[in-house]
Amino acid sequence: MLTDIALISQVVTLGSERAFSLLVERHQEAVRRFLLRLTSGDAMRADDLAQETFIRAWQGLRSLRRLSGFQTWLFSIAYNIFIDDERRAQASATTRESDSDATTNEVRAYGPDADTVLINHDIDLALQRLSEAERTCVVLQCIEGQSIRDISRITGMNENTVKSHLLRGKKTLADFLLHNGYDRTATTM
Amino acid sequence: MKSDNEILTQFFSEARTPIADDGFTARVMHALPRQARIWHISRINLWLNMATAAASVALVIYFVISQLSHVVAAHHPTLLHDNSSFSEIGTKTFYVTVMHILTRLNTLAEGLQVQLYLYLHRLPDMLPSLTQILALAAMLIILTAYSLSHTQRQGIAKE
Repeated sequence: MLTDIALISQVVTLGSERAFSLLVERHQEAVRRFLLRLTSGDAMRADDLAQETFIRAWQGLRSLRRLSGFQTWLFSIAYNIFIDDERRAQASATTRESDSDATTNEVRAYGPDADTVLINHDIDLALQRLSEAERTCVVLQCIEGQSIRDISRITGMNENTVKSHLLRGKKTLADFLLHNGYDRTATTM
Repeated sequence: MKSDNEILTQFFSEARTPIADDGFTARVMHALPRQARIWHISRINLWLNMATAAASVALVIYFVISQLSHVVAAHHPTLLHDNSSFSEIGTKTFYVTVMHILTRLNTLAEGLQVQLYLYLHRLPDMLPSLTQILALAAMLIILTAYSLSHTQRQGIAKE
C-alpha cells in the first residue's frame, strides 16, 4: 500500500487523480466524523463541508509543507471551512434543522443500526453543552486522537489555550454525563 | 464511582463509529474543479512536451547535418571542372559554399560526438552504476510516454 507521502507526490508532480482519490478514500472517514461532531450530527451538512475540504485540499496540495502531517492539514482546512460556514449561517440567521431532521441525517450517516444512532445522538447532545472551541478541542483529542500540538496547528490557537479549552470542556462533559447517570450505565442516556 | 477521565474514555470509545464511504469519494472526484485540474496537469505536460520536442529536434538536426555533410564531402572532387560555364560556376560555387558550411557543421558535430563520447566514458565515474542510469532513462521514457498519451487523451476528450 502506498504511503500518503507517495500519493501526495504523485498528485503534485503528475496531477494524478487516481492518487488523490486514494487519499480521499483513506481520510474521508476521519474528516467526515470530525465535521459530523462539529455540526452536532448533521450528516448532510458535514458531508458538504467535507467535500469542500477535499476540493480545497486538491487545489492547495502544492502549498503543503509538512508532508507527514497530511491529516492534520486536512483537519485544519475542515475546521476553517466549518468556522466560515458557521459565520455565514449566523450572519444570514439561517435556522438550523430540527432535532428530528438531524436524527434522520444520522441514520443516513451511520446506517439503520438503532443503537449506533442513539449512541451518536447522546454524544452530540453532550457535545452541545460545550462552546465551539471546547467542542473542537475535545473532539480532536478524545475522538480523533490528535495531540495538543496538532490541535494547536489545526485551530490556530496556542497550546495553552488548547489545554484550558480541553480542561474546561472535559469537566463540563464529565459533569453532564455524571448528572445523567452515565457512570452507572454504559449504554445510552 | 468512576473518575472523569474514565467516564470520558468510555463515552468516547463509542464515538469512533465507522463511517462507510457510500460514494463520497466518487462525489468528491466528480466535484473537483475542471479548470484547475486542466491547468494542474497541462503545466507539467507542457514542460515535458517542450523538453521532448527540443530533444527530438536537436537529435534530428544532429543526424541530418552529420549524414548530409558526409555525403557532400564524398562528392566534392567531382563538383568542379576547368571548362565550366558561368551558370555552372555559380551553381558549383553555391554547392561549394553549402559544402563548406556543412563541413564546418560536420566538424562541430564531430566535436559534439567527441564530447558525447568523453561524457559517456566519464559517466561510470560520475554515477554509481549503469543500472541506475538505465532506471533513470526508463523513468524518463515512461514519464514522457505518459505525458504524451495524457495529452492525446485530453485532445480526444476535447473533441
